[in-house]
Amino acid sequence: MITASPQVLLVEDHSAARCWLQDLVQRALPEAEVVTAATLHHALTLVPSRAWTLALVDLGLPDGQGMTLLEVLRAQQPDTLSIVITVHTDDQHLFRALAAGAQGYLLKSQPADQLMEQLRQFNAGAPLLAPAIARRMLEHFRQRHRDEAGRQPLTARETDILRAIGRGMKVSEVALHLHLTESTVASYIKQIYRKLSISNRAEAALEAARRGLLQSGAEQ
Amino acid sequence: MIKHATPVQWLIGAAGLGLLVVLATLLLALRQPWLGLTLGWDHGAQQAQVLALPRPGLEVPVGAGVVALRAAEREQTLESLDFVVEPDGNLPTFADYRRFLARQHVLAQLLRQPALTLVGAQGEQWVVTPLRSRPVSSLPVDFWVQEGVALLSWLICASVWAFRRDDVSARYLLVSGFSTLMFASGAAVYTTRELAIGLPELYILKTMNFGGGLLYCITLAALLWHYPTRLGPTRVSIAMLLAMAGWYLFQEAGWVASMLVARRLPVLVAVLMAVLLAFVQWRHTRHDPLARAALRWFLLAWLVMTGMLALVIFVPQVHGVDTGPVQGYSFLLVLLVYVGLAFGILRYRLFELGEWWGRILSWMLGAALLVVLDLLLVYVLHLTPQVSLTLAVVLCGLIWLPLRNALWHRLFHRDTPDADNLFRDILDITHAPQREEGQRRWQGLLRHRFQPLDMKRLAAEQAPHQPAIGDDGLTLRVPASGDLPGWQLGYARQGRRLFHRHDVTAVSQLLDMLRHARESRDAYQRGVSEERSRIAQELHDNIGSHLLTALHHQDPQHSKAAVSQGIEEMQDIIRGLTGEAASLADVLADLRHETRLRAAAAGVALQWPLEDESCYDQLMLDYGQQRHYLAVVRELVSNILRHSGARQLGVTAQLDGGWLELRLCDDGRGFDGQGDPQGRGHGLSNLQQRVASCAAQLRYLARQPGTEAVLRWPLGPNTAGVTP
Repeated sequence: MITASPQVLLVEDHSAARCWLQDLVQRALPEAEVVTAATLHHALTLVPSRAWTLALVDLGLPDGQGMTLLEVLRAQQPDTLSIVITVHTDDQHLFRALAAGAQGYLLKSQPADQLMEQLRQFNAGAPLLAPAIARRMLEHFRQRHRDEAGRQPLTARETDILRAIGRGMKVSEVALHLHLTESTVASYIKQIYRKLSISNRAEAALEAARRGLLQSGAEQ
Repeated sequence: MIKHATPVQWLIGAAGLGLLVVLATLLLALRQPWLGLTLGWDHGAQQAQVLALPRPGLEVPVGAGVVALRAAEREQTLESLDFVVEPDGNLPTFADYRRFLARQHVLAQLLRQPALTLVGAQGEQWVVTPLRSRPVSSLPVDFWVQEGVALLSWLICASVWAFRRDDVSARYLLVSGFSTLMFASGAAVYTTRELAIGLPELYILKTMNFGGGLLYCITLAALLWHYPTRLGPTRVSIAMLLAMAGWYLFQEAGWVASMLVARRLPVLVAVLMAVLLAFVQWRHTRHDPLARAALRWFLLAWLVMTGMLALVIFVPQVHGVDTGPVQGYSFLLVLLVYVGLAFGILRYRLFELGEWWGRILSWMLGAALLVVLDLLLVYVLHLTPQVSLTLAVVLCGLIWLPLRNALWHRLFHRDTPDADNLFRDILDITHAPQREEGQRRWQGLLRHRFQPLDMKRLAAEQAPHQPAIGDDGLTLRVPASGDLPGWQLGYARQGRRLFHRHDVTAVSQLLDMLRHARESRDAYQRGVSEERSRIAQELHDNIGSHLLTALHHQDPQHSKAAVSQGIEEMQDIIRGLTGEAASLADVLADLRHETRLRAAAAGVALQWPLEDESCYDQLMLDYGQQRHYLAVVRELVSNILRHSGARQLGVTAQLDGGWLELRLCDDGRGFDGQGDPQGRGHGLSNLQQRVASCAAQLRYLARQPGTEAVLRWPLGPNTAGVTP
């Protein structure tokens, strides 16, 4: 994912936050070109304008859900790395964002140095997966496996990786622990994300069908 | 045993007594020999006449004149005297009375002979064989009327007395009921005699009637001495009774010639006395509307009815009219007096009896009905021997048995206390939204459980400390409990039983449950407010202090760090409020991840090897422990990253007995635990304070190069789960 000049789309409605986030991204990735949008509508118009490397999306946008943007991005530019920025620390919100297609999240409340570090690592290809989220994913898939046998469960390897990350290991440690290369681990993690979003989208579609709604994956 | 009988037991006893008297007189009436023909005195022909032949198969023609009766060589002519129904008031002198009694005796003896000859006016002779006893069906209606009046009047008076045994007026009422029992049942027998009743039975019956009648009149007068207000000492009313008794003996001894005077004069005197006393009571109660209402009703019932009695019976007698034949029916007026009294009790709470009194009475009457129903069955079966047994059994099963069962069930149904709902009821009381609602529910529970006839709320100083039985089991005093006042319950299970030790135990249990529920409710509320205070305290202490530091510290970096810490604490608090306990493994995992990021941001490489942490999976840390632990470790890491100048940080964690030992090794400049000599920071002392307050241990070891901080954290009884 390393590009000469990463194209970063930053979508954040709060103007002060937009300022310091832009500043943060610029400091973390000095070569990056950061384009900002304050509304979902504006962001949607920006999506087709160039090939985005990184998208940082605030979940609580005034005119729509950040999830919608994530889905559009995934549909139109599947190679873009999307990160959700939020203040919510509870698993539910984040988990749904991940299920919608985000590959990581950043908490606005984290100190600047940590945020920058995370961005750098992310840009370098390390998946942004906190142990708590990994454990939550494990639980989710275990539940899924119990509820409906037809869904795609995790393979044993994927389960091991999730469990290791759940223990707080970083990717290199996981690779060492499981006798894999780091890139293999990274691709496994992407696979897990995909499965998560698929299962979640399928569940959402089922739920929508049940409720007779047209939109799928819509959050309240 | 008599002392401890409940009111209802007294009432049952009284009912038994009444029944006994009625049955005795009934038997007496039935034991008389029966000819089976009705004789009457024809005033025109001045002779007796056969009026009817109730008994089939007699050869005596109706309307024939009968002059004399003959049996076993004795003959007695019939006179108009023999057909006097009621001697009192119809016979002018005692001489006549004594003659009447003697003639009755002779006739009765004739009737006892195996064969009796009726001698007609023209010398005809008809032989009749008297039956040894009288059939029940031959008893006329007014016999039953009089017996009914006797029994019911007695029951009504006894039922009032049973609940007010100490009340003088109630005692007099009982005496008046007794007198009615006597005079009515006595009269029932001799006024419906076929022809004659012998001595001594006739004399006894007459005494019952006259004595009872006198007692009745004077008792009501004596009653008015005491009711509704007491006019004077009890001696006076007793003197009235004694005076009447004296008069009775006086006239029995024959000191008075005229029977009319002897027997009707005292009645008149008693009535006049009663009227006078009624007037006095009326004056006395002019300031007491309640007493006056009671008096008014009582007088209405009594005076009007007695007046009518006097008018219908006695006044004509004075003028020589024989009112004997209607006397029986006139007793209904007497019954009406008592019925009116009962009505007054229900309506105006005479004698301070309430509606429940009516319920008890109807219960008694229901029980009497049950007995009657049984007797009726026996009677019906006895009458119809031709009816097949099958039919009888079928009728019994279809009609009598269900009816009886229904009646029995209604009368004697026992309500067992509802234990299932008790828990819910207790909680409803202690958790009632308002105090009054809770008090009402408590009252309802007591009422449902013990079914008392009355409940009285006790003021604070009257309520006992322990539940107590009083008045030989008639009352139960329930202590106050929390908001709930004390109560005094009277007459358990509708007056059908007394309170005893089991009830004291039951009440104690109820109070215990109430107290327990109240205490847990209070504890819960205390817990809620304590939790709130704790949260407020934490917000103030932790977030507040960080924000204050950020506000006042000159170094903007430091300020930012303080704000960061504040946000972290806030998130921890939120997570702690909404989250659950976490396993030690998860806590360490998150810590590892976070520390790596922070270290990387500070340019320090983290070595935190993954060991076998399966043993950590079982250990749970609750919210409080998590918070403190994370705060301490974060602080330690911050110190290392900020002040030590290290490039490498190695962390190991291991369990040692009941302790979690975390070792942080850095290769920095070294540290002896004393902190900045300039003393600008307070972090170290705060850290030590926090460590000490959690009963943990922190010490620093010098390593060449660098420092090793050893943090030993207790995983003691606070930690839920399996300790290795």
